Amino acid sequence: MKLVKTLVARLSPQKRKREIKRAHLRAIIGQSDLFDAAWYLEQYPDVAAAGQDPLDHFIAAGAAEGRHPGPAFDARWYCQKHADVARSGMNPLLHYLENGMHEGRSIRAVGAAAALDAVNKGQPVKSAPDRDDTRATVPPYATDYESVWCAAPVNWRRMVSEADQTRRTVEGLSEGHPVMSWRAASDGDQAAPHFVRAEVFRNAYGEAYGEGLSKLGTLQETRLGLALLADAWFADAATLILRFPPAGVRSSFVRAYQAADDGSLQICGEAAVRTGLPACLALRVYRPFAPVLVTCEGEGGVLRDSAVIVFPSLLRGGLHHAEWRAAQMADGHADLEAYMLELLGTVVADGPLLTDRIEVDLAGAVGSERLFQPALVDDLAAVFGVAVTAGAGTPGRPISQCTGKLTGRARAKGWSLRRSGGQCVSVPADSFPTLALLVAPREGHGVSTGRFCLAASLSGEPQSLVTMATLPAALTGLDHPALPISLPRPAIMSALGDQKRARPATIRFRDPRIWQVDPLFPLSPDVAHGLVLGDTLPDIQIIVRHDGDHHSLATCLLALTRQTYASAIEIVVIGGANDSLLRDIVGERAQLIGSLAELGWDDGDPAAAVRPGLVLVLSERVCLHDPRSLGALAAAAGGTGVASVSCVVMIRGDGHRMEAEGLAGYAPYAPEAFGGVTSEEAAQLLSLFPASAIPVGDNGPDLVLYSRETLERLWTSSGKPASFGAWGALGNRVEGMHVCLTLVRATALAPLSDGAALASVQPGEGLSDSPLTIRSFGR
Amino acid sequence: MKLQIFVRSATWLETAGTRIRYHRMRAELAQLGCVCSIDPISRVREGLKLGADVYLFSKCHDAGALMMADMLREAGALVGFDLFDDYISNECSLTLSQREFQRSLRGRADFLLCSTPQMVDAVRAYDRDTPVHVLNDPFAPFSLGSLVQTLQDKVQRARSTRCLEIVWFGQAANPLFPVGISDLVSFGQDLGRLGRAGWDARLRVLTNGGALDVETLAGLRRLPLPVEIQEWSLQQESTALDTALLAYIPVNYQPFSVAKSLNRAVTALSHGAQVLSPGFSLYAPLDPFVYAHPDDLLQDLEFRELRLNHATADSLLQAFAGIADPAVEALSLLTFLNGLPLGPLRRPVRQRCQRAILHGAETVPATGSLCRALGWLSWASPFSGLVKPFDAAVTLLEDGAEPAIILSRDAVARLASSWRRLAVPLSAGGVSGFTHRVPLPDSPAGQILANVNAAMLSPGPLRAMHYRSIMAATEAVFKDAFGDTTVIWSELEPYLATAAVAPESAG
Repeated sequence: MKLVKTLVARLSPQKRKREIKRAHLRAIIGQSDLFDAAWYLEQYPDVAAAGQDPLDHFIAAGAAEGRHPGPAFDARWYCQKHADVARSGMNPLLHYLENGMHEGRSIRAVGAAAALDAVNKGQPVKSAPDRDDTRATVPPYATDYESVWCAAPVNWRRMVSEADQTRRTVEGLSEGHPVMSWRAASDGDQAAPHFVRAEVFRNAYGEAYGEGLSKLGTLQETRLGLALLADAWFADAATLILRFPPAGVRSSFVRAYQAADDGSLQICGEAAVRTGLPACLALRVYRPFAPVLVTCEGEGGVLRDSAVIVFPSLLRGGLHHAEWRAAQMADGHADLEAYMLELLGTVVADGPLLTDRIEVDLAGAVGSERLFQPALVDDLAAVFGVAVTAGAGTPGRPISQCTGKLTGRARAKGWSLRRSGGQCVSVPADSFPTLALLVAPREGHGVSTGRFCLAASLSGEPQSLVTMATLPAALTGLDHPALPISLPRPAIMSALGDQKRARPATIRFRDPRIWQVDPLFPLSPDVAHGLVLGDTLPDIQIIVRHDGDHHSLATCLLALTRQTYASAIEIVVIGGANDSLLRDIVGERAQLIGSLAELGWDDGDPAAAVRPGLVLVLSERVCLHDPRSLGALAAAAGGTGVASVSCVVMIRGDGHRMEAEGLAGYAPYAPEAFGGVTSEEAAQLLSLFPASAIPVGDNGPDLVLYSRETLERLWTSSGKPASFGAWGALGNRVEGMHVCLTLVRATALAPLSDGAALASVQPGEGLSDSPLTIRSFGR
Repeated sequence: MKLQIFVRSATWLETAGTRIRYHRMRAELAQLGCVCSIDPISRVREGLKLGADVYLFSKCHDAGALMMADMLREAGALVGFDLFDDYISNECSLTLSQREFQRSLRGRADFLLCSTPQMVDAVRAYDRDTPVHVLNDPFAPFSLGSLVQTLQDKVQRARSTRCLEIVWFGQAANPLFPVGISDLVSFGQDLGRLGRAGWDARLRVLTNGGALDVETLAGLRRLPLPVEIQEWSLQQESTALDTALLAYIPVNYQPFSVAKSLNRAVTALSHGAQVLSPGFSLYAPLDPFVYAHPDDLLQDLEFRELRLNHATADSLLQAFAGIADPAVEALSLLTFLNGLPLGPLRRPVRQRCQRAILHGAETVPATGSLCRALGWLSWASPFSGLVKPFDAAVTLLEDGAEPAIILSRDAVARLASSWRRLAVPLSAGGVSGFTHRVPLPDSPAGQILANVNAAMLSPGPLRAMHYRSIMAATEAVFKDAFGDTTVIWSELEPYLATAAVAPESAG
């Protein structure tokens, strides 16, 4: 060792540094137990053939080439799983040893995916590619390239503009002023749409600010003239770029105007041109919700053309762009102008408007969401007359400091001079109201509070359009205490009309870090689920159907013994259970009874058949691994108008760690509740909403909790409970809400039943004569 | 007094936390008679002598550190942990393992160090009894004269050119919380006001560029002013703050952010940069020098003196002395330590415990070598697979063989005598460091182990359900075999770690 140190000391500084680093790496990696020299040589014969030291090879080249250091560390998987490591170019094993393991990052053995599949499924299956569970896998929209983008690679002209991009106030609007003093080319031209349009805009702002805005309603007749623009987008939050078509009108000046906070008109961009139009014009647009007028003036102040961008925030890069994309997808709107005109039509029409106040649900808020930004909140009040106030939730001390800055009262400005409908809409903190909600009339407003656009938190890029049926108030309290997950809801419920045609109410900005939940325990295991269980918990009778898979049955029962938040439980195993096996599982607490008749199943008397409280019908293939499951299901079943409750069942897992991705397999049997999406997409939606209750058309028979009332109705409609939970049975025969709870999850121990072949609990047919009752189990 | 600080690894010696908190205070501690050493915990494995009076574990969150803490307290030393980031107030599942570690610290430390009173509140929710000291981040000394000159130059340059140079510096992101550039983007609308007022505002972002993904870059593009991104380094940060008129430091309201120390504002101000900090008023103690709203800054810039100017620089120094003076902080720390009861758990050498780490499904590989270095036993549970060699393990699922315990040669020597008689050498000299085997006992714990099957060990719900009983059974069997032993479970996997908190006794 001394010799080595001496030799190192004689090297040049660079070499010495390199040698020291190499020695450092050798020490860390070589002693780590994750590097296996023999395995490395066996796995990579080229290294052995070259006679290289395996550790040196791995440090110098192997890691960069994506080779694994040993059987217990899959280097490629580690880089794939942790993208920041891959980006840093760091040796993945070194990263894990120095940082990753302390940060709780996961590792995986080489070939673990295949091994895991073999264990879980009993057959070799290709491992699924790793993906972020919380991200949609199918892009919901066509890309810009396919839909919007029109390439214009030639004939681009340099933008001719001497003016800087700082806005300046238009000093007076008197006749003859060079600014806003355009004239028509001829008398007949005064009736031309572009002239009327510009005049309407000027007059709207020429009078008291706000009152005039309603005059913009005239633009419905003249149209907005957006054909003047080839494209428009926000380059940053305050820079709106207008691109003009190559063959534009003949013009000397191109100008854009917008009202400032104080109501004065300002020029937000201008360009002087010799012929045609500039290729691009950059505007400073500090108010995304206030209309912008663009004018093209020729020699002598003759107005050649004009356009009014009524709602700039709908443009690409704008706050409401996701809403426009959703409208394109759902309603088939062909062009932006039509959509803007439709919104304009609703805001200037007679009659009260829907939204007077936006109440922010504070659950999970961090205070930096868009609804807390003073500039945006001020503009909401100024342009739409909508106040933003702090609502319910779980405000901590710091967040209350933030909410004090919200405006409690709408300002009498802008569109707000229209009639307020007095409606308060409660929205999650991570959302922003859509224009459709802000300008919707109260009657027949066509806005669905259960519908919203999902957009990326930082970029604002739209991700998907989501439709959720509106929940009753009793169930909206089942939100995750730490996540901003609740649905937007109006304080006064009114008929929502056809959900498919309804507009989204909010844009939800999704930050994967906040929305990320693991599939096995959506609610952290050390957190109570927040459900109010009441003083007296209902007795729960659990009917477990046994198909002969003793291992699954043992696990299923073991999980039931560990349930908390539930009072007396009675478990009935039916379907040919092996008594001695069950005795092994549950010991002496089991009580054998003679037949189902002793439980009152065959006498046709519902009061005798159904014990007071709740009945959970459970397949032995389903494991309630989360000890809070039964309590959560029971509490949800106690909600007003709830007929049956289930929870998401994981049907497969992947990866080395249990929090790795998985599919929420208990898809609700009501695709229409999701706007016609397929069940696979519905399952992905479930994974996006980890802590909510989703109304479904029916609950399947593998896991469903019935209220006593539901059972009685089932009983009387068919003479006996011949098909608890069979496909379509509930939806057809029992009124009330069927709920799929995503607050807790269960896991399928074996493949579940599917489709029409679903077997249901059918007392009296094919059952054992000696069902086992396990009374007051584990209480 | 000798104070030994252990950090997580060699890389952590250079992190902002270690650099600002401990390196800046070392000279002052030395003047007060306290020798302070800062080393990565791995140096213990390499033979670092444990001879200090007080030990402080900085961001060492694993079973090895916990066991070392127990061992050092038994030897009479004072042991503390520092808690400078609030990963424990949030209730989301992402921070479960941090909360579990916090719970496991209860009763294991003589003291805790926090950076702010907010952090103390967060800790108190988990541990009401352990004494907590607030250690303010010390500032780096600077020259008042050059600060005054810098301030004058910056203002003159800004007013003459109408150009506002703004800097944001820090980590781009946190894997658990939306902070960093997310805050910058969220509060970015404020920066638009500067441009609106006729200033040519430009933002320089100094951050770890490797962490910038497409989403983050798209967020930066949404800011209402030109942005230049540079790779962070201490030198770059210093240069940027020396030239920029303004440091923009927005703070959101989540527990992680509001419990942060004042060091970013302190650093910016000591370089002569004005601080604009919208959002949560984290920098309230520096209120006279910090702007919360851009309009106030613009008013001062146009018509008055800026808050930090040649006349107020002296009071800045006084303000720092009140909250971040290295000498004051060093004295305060030593006074706190001197007030603690010395070595309450001290035991004579002969009465000291035999110690063992029981490895779960995922464990810190280096813990194995730490065990060897400090003479602890390293036990494998049926879930363990990565850390080798162990002193003892249970073989459960080998074809054609009865379940048994396999042992290393050293472990056989430490077996209870009744067990040692049962030890049979393995054929062919053993494998993976194991040389002997003994049959599983016919006890309730042994029966639990004998009934373990592959599905219970594979990732998934079954493992979660059976984890606690299998671990407890393993512990019971090994304790029986090795005699009285203090055991800590080493488990990094969050949901299993939850189960590991309160092990049930097997059988």
